[in-house]
Amino acid sequence: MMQKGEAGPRVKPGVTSSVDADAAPSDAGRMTTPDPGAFFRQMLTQWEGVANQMGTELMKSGEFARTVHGATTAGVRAQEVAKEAMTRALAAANMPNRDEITDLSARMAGIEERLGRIESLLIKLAGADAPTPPARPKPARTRKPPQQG
Amino acid sequence: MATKTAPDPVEQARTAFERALQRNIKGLGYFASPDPVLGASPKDVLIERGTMRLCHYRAQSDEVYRVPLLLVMATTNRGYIFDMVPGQSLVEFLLKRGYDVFMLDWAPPRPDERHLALADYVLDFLPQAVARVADETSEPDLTVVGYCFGGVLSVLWAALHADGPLKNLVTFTTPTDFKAMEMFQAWADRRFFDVDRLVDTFGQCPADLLYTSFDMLRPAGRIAGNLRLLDNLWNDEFVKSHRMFDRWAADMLPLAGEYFRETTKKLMWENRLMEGGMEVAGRPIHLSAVTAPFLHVVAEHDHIVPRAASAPLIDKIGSSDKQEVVLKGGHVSLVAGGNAVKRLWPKLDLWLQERST
Repeated sequence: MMQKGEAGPRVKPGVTSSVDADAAPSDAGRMTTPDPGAFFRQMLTQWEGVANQMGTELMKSGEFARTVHGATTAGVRAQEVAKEAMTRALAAANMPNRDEITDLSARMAGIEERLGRIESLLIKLAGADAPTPPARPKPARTRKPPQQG
Repeated sequence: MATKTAPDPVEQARTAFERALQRNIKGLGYFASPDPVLGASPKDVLIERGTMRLCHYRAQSDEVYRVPLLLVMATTNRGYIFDMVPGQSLVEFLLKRGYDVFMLDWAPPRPDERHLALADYVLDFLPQAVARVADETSEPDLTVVGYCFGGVLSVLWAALHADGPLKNLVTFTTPTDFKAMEMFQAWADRRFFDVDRLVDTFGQCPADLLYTSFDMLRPAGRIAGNLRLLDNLWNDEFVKSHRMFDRWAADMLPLAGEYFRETTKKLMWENRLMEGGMEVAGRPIHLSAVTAPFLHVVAEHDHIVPRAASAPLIDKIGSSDKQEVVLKGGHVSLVAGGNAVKRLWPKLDLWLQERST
C-alpha cells in the first residue's frame, strides 16, 4: 500500500516535528527463504506502480474529467427522467411517491425523538421510584502516566 | 543484517507445491466462510440519532486517566477501522492503556436527513456528543481525536468552542489545503462537475460514487490486490488482514446532500480552510483560536490526503504546545494494521499520557 518517492519531512520553526525512525529495514541482500514467486511479486509491484502513476496522470487531465462528468451527467439526467415518470405513474395510481414517503419518515423520526424526550422527562420525574438497571461499576479516574526512566 | 543462502531447487519446488496445495484448499474456504466480525469491543450506545451514533467502550482497566477521549470518525467511512479485531484495535489498545474511550461515528444518512449541513455536524452532533461524554464521566475536559474528515469537523468545532471543554486535540491525516488533493480537485473541477444537479437529483451523494472515486485514486490497486490475495491464499494472516481491510474499504457511507454540496463548494472549490473565509452557519472560523495542546499526525505515503494537503494545519493552529508527527504508512495503514500497532499507537499513548491527568 506504500508509494515511493515522497520527500523527507520539513521541520518548522516553533513546531516540534518528528519523523518515524522505525522505518522498515531494507530487504536488499536478504534471501533466507527460497521463493520461486519472488520474480512474479516484484513484477506485480512494478506494474502496479507504473499503472497507478500513468492512470493518475491520465485522470488528472481536464479531458478525462470532462468525459467522466459527461457520463455522470447523462446518468443523472436519466435518473431525473425516470423519477418524473415514476412520480406521474404513482400519482395516477393514487400512491405516495418517494418524496412523500421521505416526508412521512421525517415526521416519524420527529415523533420518535419527541417520545424519547418525554420518556426521559418521565424517568426524571419518577426519580428514585423508577426501576433502573444496576449501574456498571466505573473505574477510578486517578491513573497517572508511568514513570519514565 | 544481510544473510544469504543459495536457493535449493528441491526446496523451492517443495515450497511451491505446498503453497499451491494450500491455495486450493484455503481458496475454497475463503469463498465459503463468512466475513470477519469487526468492531466487536464491548460498548454501550449512548446516542443513536439518525446518522449520528455515540458509543462508550467498556473500560478494560481498574483505573483510567481523568480526561476521557472522544474519537471522531470521518463521515465517509465506518468507525470500526478503530476497532478491527482483538490485537488490531486502536480502541482496545487505548482501553488497555487506561483511557476512557468514546466514539462518534456515523450511519448512512436517512433520506429525510438530506438537508443536514456542515453546521449540523459542527454545531449540533459534535456538541451533543461532547455534552453526553461530560454527563457520563462528570469530567469538564476531554480529548478529541479526529480521523481524516472527522479531523476537519473536530478542528471546526474546536475553533468555534475556544472556551469549551477541549483539553487536547489530535488529528490523523486531516486535510487542510484541498488544492493539494490533486485527484479530487480534478474530479471536482467546477467546470464539469455539477454538484447542485447531483445533490438535487439524488438527495445524497451516493456511496457508490464515493467508493469509485476512492478506488480510482489507485487505478491498478484492485487488480494488484486480488493477485496478491491469490498469491497469499496459503497465508492465513494475510487473508485475514486482506478481508478486514477490503470489507472496511467497501463499506462506504453516502453523504447527506447539503453537507456534500457545502463541503465541495467551500473546501474543494474555494479552499477556504487554507485560504481563509471559512464559516459555519455564518460563524467565521479562525483556526488560531484553537489553543489546546495539539498533535497532528501525517502519513508519509498517504494517497488520499497527501502530505502537502494535511501538513499546513499545524501552522494554522494557535496552540503553543503543538507537534507534527510524520509516520511511515498510508491513509489507512497509519491508524490500523501492523504498521499502526508499531508506529502510531505507542506515539499517541506517549503524547496523551501526560496530558490526560
